[in-house]
Amino acid sequence: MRWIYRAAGPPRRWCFLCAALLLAAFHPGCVPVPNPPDGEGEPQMEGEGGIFLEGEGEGVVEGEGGGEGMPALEPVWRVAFTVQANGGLSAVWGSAPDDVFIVGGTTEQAWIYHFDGIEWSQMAAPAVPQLIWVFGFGTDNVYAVGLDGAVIQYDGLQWHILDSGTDEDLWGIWGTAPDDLWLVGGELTPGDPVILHYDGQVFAKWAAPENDRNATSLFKVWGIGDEVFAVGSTGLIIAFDGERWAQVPAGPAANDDFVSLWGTREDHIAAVGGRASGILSDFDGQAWSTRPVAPVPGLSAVYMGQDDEAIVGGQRGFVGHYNPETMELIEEAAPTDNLQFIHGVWGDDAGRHYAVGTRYIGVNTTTGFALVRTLEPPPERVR
Amino acid sequence: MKRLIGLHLGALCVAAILTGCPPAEPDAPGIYAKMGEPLPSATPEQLATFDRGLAVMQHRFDLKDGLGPSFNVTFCGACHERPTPGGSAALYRNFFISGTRTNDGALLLGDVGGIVRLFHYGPGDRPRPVIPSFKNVFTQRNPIPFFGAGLMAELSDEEIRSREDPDDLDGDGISGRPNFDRGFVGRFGRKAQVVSIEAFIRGPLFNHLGITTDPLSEEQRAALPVDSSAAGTEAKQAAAPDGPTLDDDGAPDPEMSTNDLFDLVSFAMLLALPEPEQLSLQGARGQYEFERIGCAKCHVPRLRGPRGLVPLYSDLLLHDMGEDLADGIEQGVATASEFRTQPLIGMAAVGPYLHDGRASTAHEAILAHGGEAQTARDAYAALDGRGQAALIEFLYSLGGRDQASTGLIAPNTPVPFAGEYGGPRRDLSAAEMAQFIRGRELFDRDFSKANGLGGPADALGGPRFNGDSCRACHIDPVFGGAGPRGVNVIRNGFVSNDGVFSPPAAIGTILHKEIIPGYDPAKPETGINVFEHRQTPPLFGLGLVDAIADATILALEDPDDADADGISGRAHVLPDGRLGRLGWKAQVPDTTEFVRDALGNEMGMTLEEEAGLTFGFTADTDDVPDPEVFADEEQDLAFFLAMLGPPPRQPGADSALALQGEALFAASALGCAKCHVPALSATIDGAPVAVPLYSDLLLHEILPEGAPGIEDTYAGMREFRTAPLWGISQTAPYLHTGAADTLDEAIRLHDGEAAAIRDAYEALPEAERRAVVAFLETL
Repeated sequence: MRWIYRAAGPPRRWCFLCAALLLAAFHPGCVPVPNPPDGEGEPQMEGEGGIFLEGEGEGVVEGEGGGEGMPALEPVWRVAFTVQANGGLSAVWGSAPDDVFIVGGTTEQAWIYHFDGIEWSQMAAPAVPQLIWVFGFGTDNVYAVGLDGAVIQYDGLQWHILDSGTDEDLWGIWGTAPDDLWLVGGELTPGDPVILHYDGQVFAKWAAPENDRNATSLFKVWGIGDEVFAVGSTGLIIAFDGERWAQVPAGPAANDDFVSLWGTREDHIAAVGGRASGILSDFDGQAWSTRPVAPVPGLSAVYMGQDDEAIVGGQRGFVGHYNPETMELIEEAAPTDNLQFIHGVWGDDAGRHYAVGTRYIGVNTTTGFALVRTLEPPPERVR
Repeated sequence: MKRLIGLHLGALCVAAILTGCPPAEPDAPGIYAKMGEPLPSATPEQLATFDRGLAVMQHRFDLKDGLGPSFNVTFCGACHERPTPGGSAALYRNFFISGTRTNDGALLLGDVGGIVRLFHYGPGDRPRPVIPSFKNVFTQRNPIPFFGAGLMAELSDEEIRSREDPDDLDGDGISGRPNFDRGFVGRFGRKAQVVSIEAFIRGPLFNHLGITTDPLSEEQRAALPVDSSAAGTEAKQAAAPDGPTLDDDGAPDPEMSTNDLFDLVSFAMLLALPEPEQLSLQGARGQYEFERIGCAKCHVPRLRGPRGLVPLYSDLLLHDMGEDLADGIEQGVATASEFRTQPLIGMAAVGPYLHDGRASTAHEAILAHGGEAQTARDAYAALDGRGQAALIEFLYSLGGRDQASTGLIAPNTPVPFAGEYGGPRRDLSAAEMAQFIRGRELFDRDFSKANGLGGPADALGGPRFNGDSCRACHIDPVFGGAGPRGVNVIRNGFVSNDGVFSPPAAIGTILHKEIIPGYDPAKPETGINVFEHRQTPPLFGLGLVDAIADATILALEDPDDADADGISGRAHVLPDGRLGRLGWKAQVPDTTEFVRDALGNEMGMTLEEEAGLTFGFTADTDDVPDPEVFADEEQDLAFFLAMLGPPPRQPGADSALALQGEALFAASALGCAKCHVPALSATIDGAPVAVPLYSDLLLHEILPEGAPGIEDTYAGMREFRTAPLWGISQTAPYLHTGAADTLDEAIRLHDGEAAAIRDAYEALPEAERRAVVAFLETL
């Protein structure tokens, strides 16, 4: 079955960006994927490497889809690649359509994949455990964080390990500049959330603000303009006012974890979460307003590239789009099933979106997967 | 006039039913069996998994298995026992859910689903775990039966949602809506908060037992009786947490294998529904009223599943039940006042009723309905006595009545023969047998608030109790025996820096685990700093213990260790001069007083004042007239216990080894028998007999020097009565705290006066230690 969660509002209209011409880029840090036949412990990619150049641009129309005489474009999700080793993919981010990073791994070893506009390849990853989130400032300045306090930086040539000074799990990283990075995390066991600030030289630990939710972890941090927020377990949202972090009200429906957030303006930010069932929260510049979105399952990923469209993902292979202006959340058809868990989504300037996650088969038996979403004309109807 | 017309129509319907109308669509085939039995449609392979799952359900988890370290119960069947494994349980198995209402109005359940765990072993917490101060919402939940769970799992989301009417568009005052779990319609739990049976089992295993599990693999889910694979016909059943549960109790995770979990889930999926009875004339009238006054709007008689019609008498939707029933707990989209319509099939045998068991009868339950059900409730209240009785008769006719009893002993269960566990200690006359059976029924009977259950309400909260029946705690290996850790009594008190013990100021040293629904869990008084587990002692052979002369016990005293053997037992002479001989501290003089003590302190029942008897209470503060148990009932109960036979010896696995162990046990070099005296003489029915209880019934200091504990009357903090060893093979765990999983551990945990004997035991070659344990296992 497919969910349509529809709050009050006018019928939605699609809005698209044009597709940009993709240029292949060479990344010295990339290693060709070996695809070992029985690569136990070695991630083995399968999928459609380079699919994004095939037929690229066909049927993609600039401006608003569905214009007069033009076919309305529809989102199409495809499998970009899968990783057959035990582990998962956690996050995706890029500096450009031809410079996209996907991170993940196992509890022992991180994985990093890169898309150069033509194909995906695996990068040499330092000896750190699973990476959870990736964020950067350009093709030669990318950061990733993960389990056990792992922080690594990519300088355009290779990844380096940075000493974060903590062994607690780090779940999110974001900043306004390479000398103004926030890292958040924490353990699921009792304890305070972790907040680190990196000035490009030193990681400084900040005390987590008091909260009445007994939250133990912050999962993501994100900001725009003067608004910087971090979200975490038990529905915790904290805000940074330039000097200190403090809890802000999230509302009565914020009764479960918030896992991720994104926005386009200071008064246009969305946070998603929930475990058994999804919750969604909007920030209007003044306050957060949270509501349940059942039957949509728990949500864990959000990316907002334009005001009226956030791509969201979560449990049970759920991917969909959310319009903060109309409050509609609509599931999209995707090659996923009930065993898949979307951990991260991101979109490039070319209107392409990615979703990455983990597929459960059994305990200690998981695979990673990456999906890509393009906008295409609907299939030709036979009359 | 309308009423008369209604009745006439009802009568016509009744007549039609009795005389035979065109047959309605029959219920799905192969779904009915006795409660506790598998679906008749089960395959031989499924029957095998059902049997294995039943065994898993009844398996008592020990500390070494990974129990806890904090927990409520030690086995699944603890809460799902009524009237058979897979069912519900009485009030003594109520548990607490807690939450935190934040400043911005959110309700957070927190760790382990907000479940309040009532017992703890080992470091990290006290025996009655601390409830965090940030918890500010509490409610109680009564265990829920699993009968027909597999059939409910098979129901499509669409079938359930076909009756949703969240905005009451049809204007009938009923506005059910579904709850959701991971994208599917929830159907299990008081708030329909769970869709998957696997999840509904794994959650409580961790939350209530502290037993960790891994999720089933896709391959295993595909092999379940209800195909639960993501690609299977019931993909919603795959909507269970994919992560393992983990703890840090030292036992390797997972603490239950996925094979055992598979069998347990299979067991639940295969449990059949009880078949509704053929309606009597009264029942048919009740069915008519049930429909007429609107009960069936929520308690929808039949839902359509893939096998056909399934008579759940529930729409499985959430309904607002009003403020009086609201419990403050929000789960999924369910608000504090919303609850899933409870299936009524089999209700005769699975009381008490409502989410917290506050209603002990269907009548009470109906009258407690509110919110959307207020109109139907009022219509019921407006029925005359015959109408109400007819409706209740209809409800109780919905299967399972033949398995219902006032407790757990199935109707017409024969009394075991003398010499068998649970049987009398000798052949009984007809009159004696009648009294024995009456006493057994009272021992087994679940009491309710309406009967006066619960002690006095005071500054610490409402009426408290540990058990709502005697049987609640005394179940191993049969009724009358010991109890698992999940029915431990927690005693508490204050020990000053200079080692002086003080009991709590307001009440005795018992910190009760249960409280009448509507109250928060009992908390210890401020300043209390000592907590102690107390295992349930077995009650077999109490009449023989009564028959031991005081002089026989006093003759064994050596309070000043005059014989310099390191053992200095002393009799517990009570303030009134009687000799204590029962209880962990020998604080109770005889069986009758033991009955009064337990009825008062453990259950909160008041008794008649009787000459020469000092234990128990004669009055409390509830509105049930005192006494709540009459003298003749108390005498029946005491007679049952006094006549309950001693535990029969068990055949050892290796009789030669056991004989060797018996010799070692008795040998002075080891010294066990210095306190665990093999037999004491008594006079029974005018004849001398040896009572082989393996105890001197004296107090000995067996805790380490300086150890804090709980005093009782004149028994010191470190002093305990020598625990009788008869029947010990069947009454694990061991010691007053239940800290020992095995007999070997129990011996090694002896200290104080028994330290030298413990050392001697530990110095024995392993083969000889095994021999001692082998001997004990024959007791």
